[in-house]
Amino acid sequence: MNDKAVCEDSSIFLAELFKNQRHKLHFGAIDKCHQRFQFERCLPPTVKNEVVCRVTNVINFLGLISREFGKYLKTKTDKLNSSGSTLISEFFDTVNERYSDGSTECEIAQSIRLAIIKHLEAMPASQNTDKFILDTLVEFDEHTSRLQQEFIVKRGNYKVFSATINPTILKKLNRESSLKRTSKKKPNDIKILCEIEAYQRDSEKTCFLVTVDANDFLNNADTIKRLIGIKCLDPLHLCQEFETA
Amino acid sequence: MYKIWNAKINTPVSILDNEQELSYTSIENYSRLDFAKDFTLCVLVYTQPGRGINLPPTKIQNLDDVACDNIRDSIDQIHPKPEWFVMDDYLKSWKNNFKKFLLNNNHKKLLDPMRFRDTWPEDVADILGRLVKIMDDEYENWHRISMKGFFESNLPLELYNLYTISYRQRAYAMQYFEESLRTIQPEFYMHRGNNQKMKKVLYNFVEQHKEVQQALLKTLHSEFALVFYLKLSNAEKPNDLFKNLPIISKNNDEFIRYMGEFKQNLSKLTVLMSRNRTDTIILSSPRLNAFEGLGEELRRVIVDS
Repeated sequence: MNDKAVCEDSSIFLAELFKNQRHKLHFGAIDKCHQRFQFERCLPPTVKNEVVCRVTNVINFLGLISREFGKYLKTKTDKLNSSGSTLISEFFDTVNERYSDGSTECEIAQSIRLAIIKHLEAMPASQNTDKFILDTLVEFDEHTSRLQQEFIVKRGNYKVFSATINPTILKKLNRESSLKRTSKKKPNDIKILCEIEAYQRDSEKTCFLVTVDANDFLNNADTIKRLIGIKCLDPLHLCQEFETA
Repeated sequence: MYKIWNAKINTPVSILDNEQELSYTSIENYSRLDFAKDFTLCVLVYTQPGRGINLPPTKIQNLDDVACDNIRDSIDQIHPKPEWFVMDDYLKSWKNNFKKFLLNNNHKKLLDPMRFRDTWPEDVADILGRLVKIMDDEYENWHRISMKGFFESNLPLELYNLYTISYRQRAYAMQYFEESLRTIQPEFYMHRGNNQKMKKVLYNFVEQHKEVQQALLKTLHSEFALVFYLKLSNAEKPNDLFKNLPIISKNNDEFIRYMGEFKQNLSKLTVLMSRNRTDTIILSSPRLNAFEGLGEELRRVIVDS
């Protein structure tokens, strides 16, 4: 079905890529549908930028904190032993003070802290600080580079189209009362809709937006379809949509 | 989200796992990290199957000459260069170090000039096989040196991830070429003495593998340009270019441009190799149990952020 294009938003793209258990019912739904109907798989440019930012921000923040931790540790001791756990706690307590509770930064810092503590508990009684830090950094890079690689491969299988947003369409969506909350809190979501509309117009393909975001897209699907002619779907309903088309 | 470029970096702190193994302070030494990068470039260019198409070849350069030509091309793109930088001197030093590395590590054979003959595909495959083995053996050591570089720099972890991915993809690509070249050897040999038919076998090979080869060469060139630019920005004299000095980046337009090009080219290569891999080598540092679960946790944070 080369006259159809299915666009994904960040929620479903990342959930599928990293097999997020919250969305396990959706795993493979789009792939199965694609095998049957061979539509074009797309990422709007704003979605592509969003997912790139999310992945690199998490990786770079982990890198930043682990480097800071290493420098901190080196100023405190040349040899690590069981008292190292006190140093780890001291460092990460100060990191937590810089960020709000429950923030992404705190979650990442907590993951790093736990990994480092486990590493400390697993090592011999006394270890050279330099070796401890380097072992830790090598592990972090192994994990994050694999994650990056998976992301690059998945992203490479999508078309990232370029789109010139129609300002009239943008205004129309921003003025719509049921989309006011989205327009205010998540303007990128409005931009994504405009980009898909522009691609539909330029390519003359029928475009769909597949998402698991109920608040901004799925609950407003009828309104969005009425305003700009783009259907928003849960991945589980995609095949049915093509069957009835 | 905390921005990496706001980080205040004090005087770089050195990490030395094993002082003698990881520290290079003299032009007489050659960083294994540099070797892995530079050697890949020169072998790939030198062994482009297309070189065999004009039969018989009028001239086959030595490996180090070919490498220098390509390094020169990459460095020529970098502007501005400091006044103390002299291209010929740099390339002369590079060649010396390259030869010493090969001689010290029993790879002297790679310095022998190649003869074009009816076992050309297998000869090239043998070189690539040796290189893949070197990269496989060196991976753990290379990785530790790379992370030492990260620790002493102000560069983002994302960039070092790209270096790691690039290392793996280069090895996978060369293994892919090695295996492909071995499959055409019987047909090539069968047509020995018949230049037209030998040429056709090589031509078909080049056409079939052009996309991966071009992606690999573009990645190598752009990575070399980025690495060299960073080294040049942190060097004060020629000898510094052969040391593993801490890299402090100004995050200026040039850095963003070089990194962008490298990332774009590497992404294309990674996607291509995901479709062409043979899975014979793994290239992974030994994993510590303590970090099990970290990858899953990071993926969850990305999805939920």
